[in-house]
Amino acid sequence: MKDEFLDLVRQVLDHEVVDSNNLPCGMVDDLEVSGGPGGELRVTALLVGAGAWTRRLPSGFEGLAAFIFGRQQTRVPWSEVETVTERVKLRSRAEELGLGGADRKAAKILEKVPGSG
Amino acid sequence: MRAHEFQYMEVLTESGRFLGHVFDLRSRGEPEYGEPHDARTVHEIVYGRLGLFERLGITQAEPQTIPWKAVKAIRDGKLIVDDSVGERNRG
Amino acid sequence: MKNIVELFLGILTAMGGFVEVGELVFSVDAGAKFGFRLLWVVALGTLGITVFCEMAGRVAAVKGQPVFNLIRERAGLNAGLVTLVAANLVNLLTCTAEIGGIALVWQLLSGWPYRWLALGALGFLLLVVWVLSFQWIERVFGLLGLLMCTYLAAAYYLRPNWGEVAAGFVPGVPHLESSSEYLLFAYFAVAILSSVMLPYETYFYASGAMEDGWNPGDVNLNRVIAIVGSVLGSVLAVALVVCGAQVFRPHQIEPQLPGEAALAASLTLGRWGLLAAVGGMFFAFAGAAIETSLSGAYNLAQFLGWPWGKYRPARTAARFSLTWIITFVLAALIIMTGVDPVSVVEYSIVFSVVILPFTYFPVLVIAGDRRVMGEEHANGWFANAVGWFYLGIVTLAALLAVPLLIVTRGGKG
Repeated sequence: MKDEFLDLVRQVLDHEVVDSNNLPCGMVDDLEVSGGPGGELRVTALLVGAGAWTRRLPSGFEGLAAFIFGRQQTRVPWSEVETVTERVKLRSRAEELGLGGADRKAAKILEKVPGSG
Repeated sequence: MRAHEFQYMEVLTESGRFLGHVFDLRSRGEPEYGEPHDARTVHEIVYGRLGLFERLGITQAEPQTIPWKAVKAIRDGKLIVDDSVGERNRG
Repeated sequence: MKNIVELFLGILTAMGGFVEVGELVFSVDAGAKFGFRLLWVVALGTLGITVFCEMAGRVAAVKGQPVFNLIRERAGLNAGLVTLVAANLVNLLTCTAEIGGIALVWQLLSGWPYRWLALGALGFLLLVVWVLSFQWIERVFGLLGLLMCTYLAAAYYLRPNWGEVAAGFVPGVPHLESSSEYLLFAYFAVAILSSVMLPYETYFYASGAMEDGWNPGDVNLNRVIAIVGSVLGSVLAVALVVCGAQVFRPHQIEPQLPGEAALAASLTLGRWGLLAAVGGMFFAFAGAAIETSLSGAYNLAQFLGWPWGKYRPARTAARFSLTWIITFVLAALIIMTGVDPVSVVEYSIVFSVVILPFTYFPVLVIAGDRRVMGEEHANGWFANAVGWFYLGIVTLAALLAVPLLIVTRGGKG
């Protein structure tokens, strides 16, 4: 039995994002919405990254969180979304979409240590 | 705009009657299962009463919907909808 | 066949991992001050941790998702962040206390300066977690933690009045001399409840379920392991209370350091008992240090959507790996500031209980949500009733903890 609608806050926002290889590459930290009253309202992109979720915090905490986690965010066009189930799966690989960069940067620190894979 | 700005936005009719808070943006059509879409059109606003228990997730609020076409404006961070909606969804 | 082995190992691992430094210190001290009259709190806490571990494990097994992903989805970003910060603060505090505990245990054996031993403990923990797989870590520290069974033997040979021990399991407050003694009793009740119900156990258990690759079919296995492992582990805590009561109470000594607990073992079992007890304490504390640091890393990674897991090569879960590394380093640095390790243990337990309601509430709500878990796997009326009852208890304990800490001047009365 398939759902006949998609609730964007309940089913997409704050859900895990995985790429075409099922690698976790972030959460849906916000959604870009275009249009407005009097016309169409469309969800046009996923927003992934600290820059997106820190903006949702109360103003005092936003600064602190951004200091710790940064303000980087990536825009993933909705056309990249392949399936929406428990997770949001994308059509391309993380690097192609500009995702997972933070983890790759962090990996450089660990590369020097033997046994880091 | 961003989706999070809609969350818990107050919903008022043009004549000022308070209806509830926005819970969700509903798009008709099945969740993505492989076919590419440029965007998802939002067809309805899902809203309801938001008491303490609902905020904590202990109880589910009764969701009601408004077609996006009935939304007249967004003013001062509140969603202003057509008066007729208030009548239809009363009770 | 595989399931039987898995079950057996799971139970033993849960049992060996039950005791950590706060539990040890407070259990022995509770025995020394109040004899067996706080044993019912050990039982109360054990049932509570069992209920929540089972819920968290069931959620992970059914959803195939770790608990913190679901907390963010279900409770939203802001509420989820509160839980995250709360849980990770407790993790850091507990990890710090465990590293202090390891250093104290080594000091007992070697006599070397405590702060340098903390550095040594850091090196040891970093090496072990970096090199060993999740399964190896689980088994080694869980099973070797079973050396704590030495205290079971010690308790037996100390010949307590078993009738009085049994009476200690009946909930109640003994007749005491003064109001400050009643307050002290309440303080110890709160502390023991906290030490038995530390939240890292719940979240770590759920992530561990995913590291071990559980699925909905493993729900029953999950229940048995949670219940039996916790009950057996609590028997160790009971033994510690008995040792405290038999060894220290008659002389009105107030045991503070873990080393003093080991005395109880050596009195009845001689040199080998002492070595086994010390070995047990080392593996129990080190295991707890590892679990709290990994738990913090799991929580953060799952909440923010980073790749995570010990099953991944460290380079492919880089921020996750850096998180547990940084946790260990921070914990060791705190110890090296020279802060009194017993105070660290005390504060970690007290602040853990204050934060406890924030960490348990989301688990309870998610496990009971039929939309998330499905009709079959959501909480039945019994799990819900018990879960809400415990939330009430831990909330009460959370409200009383800091006032009691102040009024009893840190358990000194």
